[in-house]
Amino acid sequence: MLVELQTEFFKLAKKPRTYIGPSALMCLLALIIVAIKYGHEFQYMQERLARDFIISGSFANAAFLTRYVLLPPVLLMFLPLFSSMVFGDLLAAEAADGTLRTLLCRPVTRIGIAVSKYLLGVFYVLTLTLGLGIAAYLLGAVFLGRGSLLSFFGGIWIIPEKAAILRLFEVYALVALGMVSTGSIAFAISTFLSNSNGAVGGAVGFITISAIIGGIEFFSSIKPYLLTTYLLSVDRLFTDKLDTALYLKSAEVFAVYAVVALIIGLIIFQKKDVLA
Amino acid sequence: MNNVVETTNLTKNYGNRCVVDDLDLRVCEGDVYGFLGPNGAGKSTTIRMLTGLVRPSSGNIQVMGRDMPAQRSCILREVGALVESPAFYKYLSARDNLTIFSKLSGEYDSDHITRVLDIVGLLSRANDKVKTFSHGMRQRLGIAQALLPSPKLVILDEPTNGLDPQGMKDVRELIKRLAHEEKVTVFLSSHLLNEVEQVCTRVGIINRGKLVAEGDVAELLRTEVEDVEIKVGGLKKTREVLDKLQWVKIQGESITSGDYGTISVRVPPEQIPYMTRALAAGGVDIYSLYPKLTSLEDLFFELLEEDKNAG
Repeated sequence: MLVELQTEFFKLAKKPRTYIGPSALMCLLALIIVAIKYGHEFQYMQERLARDFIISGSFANAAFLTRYVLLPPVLLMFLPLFSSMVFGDLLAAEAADGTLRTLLCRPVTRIGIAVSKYLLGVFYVLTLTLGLGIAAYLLGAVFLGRGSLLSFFGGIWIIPEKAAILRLFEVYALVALGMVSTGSIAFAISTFLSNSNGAVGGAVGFITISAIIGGIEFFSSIKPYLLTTYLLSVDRLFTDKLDTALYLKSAEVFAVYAVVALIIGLIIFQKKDVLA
Repeated sequence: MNNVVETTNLTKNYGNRCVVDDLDLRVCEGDVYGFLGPNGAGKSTTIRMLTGLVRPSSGNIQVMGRDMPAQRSCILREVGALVESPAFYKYLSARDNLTIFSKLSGEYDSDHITRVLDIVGLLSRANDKVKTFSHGMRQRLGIAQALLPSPKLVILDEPTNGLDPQGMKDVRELIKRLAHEEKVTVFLSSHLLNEVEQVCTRVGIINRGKLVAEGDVAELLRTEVEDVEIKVGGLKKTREVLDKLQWVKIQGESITSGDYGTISVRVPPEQIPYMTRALAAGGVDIYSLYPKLTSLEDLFFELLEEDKNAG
C-alpha cells in the first residue's frame, strides 16, 4: 500500500493539472479581495453599519474574507465541483487513458490501488480546502487588515480576532470533510462509469438534488440525513459560540457519507471487469 | 513439459453474448505460442482473463500452476503483459513510467530499467516525456514494461501494431531472443499470420470464442498431400500422362503460349519422384517443378471456413 501511495503522490506532483485548482482558487481570492476593497457594496455596508454602531477599522478584514469564501456560491458550487473533479478523475481518468489496465497487470491489489488513490484525493482536497482558508486569511491580512469577525446570522455577531481564527479553522476543517464526502460520491460513481465526466456530473447532480429536496416541505423527514443540509448550515456556526451539537452532527453525516461511498466504490472496483 | 498456461472450459459472457466459449488452451514452458483469430474472435477477452483484468463467467485458468484470479498478485510477479495498445502516463518520461511500474512490481532496479530500455531501443529517449513519443515508440515502451519483472511468461497482445517494417522485424527478433536466450515463454496474440508463422512454435486458432485448432506450427502445416506446380512444354501430353496416375489430381492449368504453360496438381509427397519419371517417360519437357507450400494463412482460412460451415 505504501508503494502505491508513493507512486500516486509522485504522479500528482508531476501532473500539470494538479496546479490548476489551486491557481483557480487563488484567482478567485484575488477577485474577492478586489471586490471587497473597491466594491461599492462593501463600502455601503460599512457606512450603514457605522450609522448604528461605532466601528473601529473596517469589518471587511482578513477574518471576513476567510468567512466570505464559505458563502454558498463557493461552498455549494465551486468546492463540490472541484472536489468531484479530483475524486472522479482518480480511477476514471486512468481507465479512460488505459493506464489502469497497465497498472492492474502488475502484482498489485485492486483494493490497494483504489484506497491509495482515494487517500490521495483526501489529501489533495483537505490541503486545498484548508489551504484556501489559510491563503484567504493571509492575503486578507496583507490587503485588508486584521481584526474581529463580524458575522451576520440571525443578528450581528462580533467574534474577537483570536476566537475568530480558531472558529474559522474549525469550520474550514468541517467543510474540508464535507468536500471529501462530496468527492467520495464522485469516486463511487467513477468506479462503475469509468468516465470522469459522468462521475463529476453524477456527484454534482446528487448535491443539487439534495439541496432541492432539502428545501421541499414534503421531504422534511429525510432532511436530517442530507449532505446539503449540513453544508448549508455552515452559517449557523458563526455565532458567538460554536454550536457543538450541530458541528458534531455535521461531521458525523459527512463521515458516514464518505465511508459508505468509499465502501460502495471499493466493492464495485474489486468486482468490475477492466475493459477500457 | 509443464503447462505454463492452462485453461479449462473457460467461458466469458457479457449479458447473453458469449465472447469466449468453453476454451481449453495449453501453453507449454518454452513455447512461443501464437494466438490467432479474426477481429472479435475473443482473443483480447481471453488475454484479459489471463491477466486478471476480466473475470471468467465459468471455467478455470491456471498460470504457472496457480489459479487466476484467486492468486492474481502471485502470478503477476512472474508475468509481463502488454494488453492491447500500450498506455502510459504521458506527462512522465519513459524512465519515470517504468520506475512506477517497476516499483509496483516490487522489483525496482534502475540498472534493469536501463537494460530493458536498451533492449527495445529507447535508451536515448529515456528521459523524454511519453507524450512526445510516436505510436511505434510507445509500443516499444509497452514491451519494455512487459519485460520489467524479469518474467517467465510474457503475454503480448498484437505487439507489432503500428510499427514500421524495421520495427516489426526488431520486435520479432526480440521475441525469438527472449524465447531462445532468456528461456521466456511467450504468448503472442496477433492477426498477422506471417508473423506468427515466423516467430511461433505453437499456435491456437480461435473463432467466435471457440478454439478451432491448436498444435505445433510444423505439425499443423504438415499435410498428407502436396500441391505442386509444374511448368511444362506440352500441356496436352502432360494431362494424358497425369490422367493415368490415379494418385494425382489435376487442380488447374494456365497457358503461357501455345502448348506451353503451368499445371497444378495435388499429389502425395512420396509419389512426386514417380510422377516426374512418368512425365519424362511420356515425353513431357519439364522446365520447373516446385511445391506450393501450405501457409498458416491457408490453414487459418480453411479452418475458419470449416468452422463457418459447421456453425
